[in-house]
Amino acid sequence: MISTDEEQMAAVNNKFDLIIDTVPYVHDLNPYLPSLSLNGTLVLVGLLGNLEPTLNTVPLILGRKSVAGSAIGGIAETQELLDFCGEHGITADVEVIKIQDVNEAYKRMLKSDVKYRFVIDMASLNS
Amino acid sequence: MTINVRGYAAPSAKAQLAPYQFERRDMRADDVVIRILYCGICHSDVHEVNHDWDRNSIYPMVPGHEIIGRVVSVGSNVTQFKQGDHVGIGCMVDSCQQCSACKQGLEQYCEEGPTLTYDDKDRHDQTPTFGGYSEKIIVREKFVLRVPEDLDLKGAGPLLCAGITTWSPLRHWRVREGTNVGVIGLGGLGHIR
Repeated sequence: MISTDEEQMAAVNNKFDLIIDTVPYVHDLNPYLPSLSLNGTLVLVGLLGNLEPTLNTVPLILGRKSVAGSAIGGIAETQELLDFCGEHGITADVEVIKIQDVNEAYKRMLKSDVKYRFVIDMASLNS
Repeated sequence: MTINVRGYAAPSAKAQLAPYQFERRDMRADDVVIRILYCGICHSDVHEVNHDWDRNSIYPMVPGHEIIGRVVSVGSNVTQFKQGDHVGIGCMVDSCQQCSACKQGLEQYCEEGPTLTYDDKDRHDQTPTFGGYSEKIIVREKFVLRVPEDLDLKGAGPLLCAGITTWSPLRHWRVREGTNVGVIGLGGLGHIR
């Protein structure tokens, strides 16, 4: 769903127990707070720094909601994830590139022009 | 004795990446030497190259922390890995191993700060860490991950940063069947959920 669509956002009012926010740039969190359920948490995983605009804390208090952060994962839980993915055959959707094209890949990534992660084939170092 | 390797580096902040030859640090008894097969590109790589964060960044900078490779050799104290194994390296290559966070297996919250795979300093010899946009990397055994057989190697690298970054909160906040989870952003991280 599109967060700038007011109707779609109203439809998910009070819905989510957990929201994982992967956006890598400072953005307004306020529109997302109503979609958190009672006790719900919005977890930021991007290193954004100071939020802008400022967060209105009233919705947090009125719904016992939280805004939290989380960083990568420890070695044991990363191994657990790999083992889980191995069992279920889960990997990322990637576009494989040669290392010589890395600068072009950066430009495209910044325009969100990738489905959904670039991966460098290191054999291309020999080209 | 150090190994000379080829890679790609940003010579200075915001510069284009270009071929770069450099020395990997000396191998130690608990180290694993890995030939890198694939490395994912993380948005953090761009932030780091551009010096967007308040860090004392080290240039030339060889980014890359979604590394999939094959073990070339192991130090005399290594027990978990052998030549030929498929392994992964994520965002960290070391930590203090003594603090409460490290003892809980949460090295990313190490009180002294974990050693990052690139743009950091090795805890023992202070040499700069260089990341996965290169042919080989040397990492201590405790920070090397085993890649399950049959997992597609091309798509596995991003699990080591994008994947774990979204997995960890799902576990910590005890997501189970019936929990309603929303994801903001359907890019490198969001798509894996």
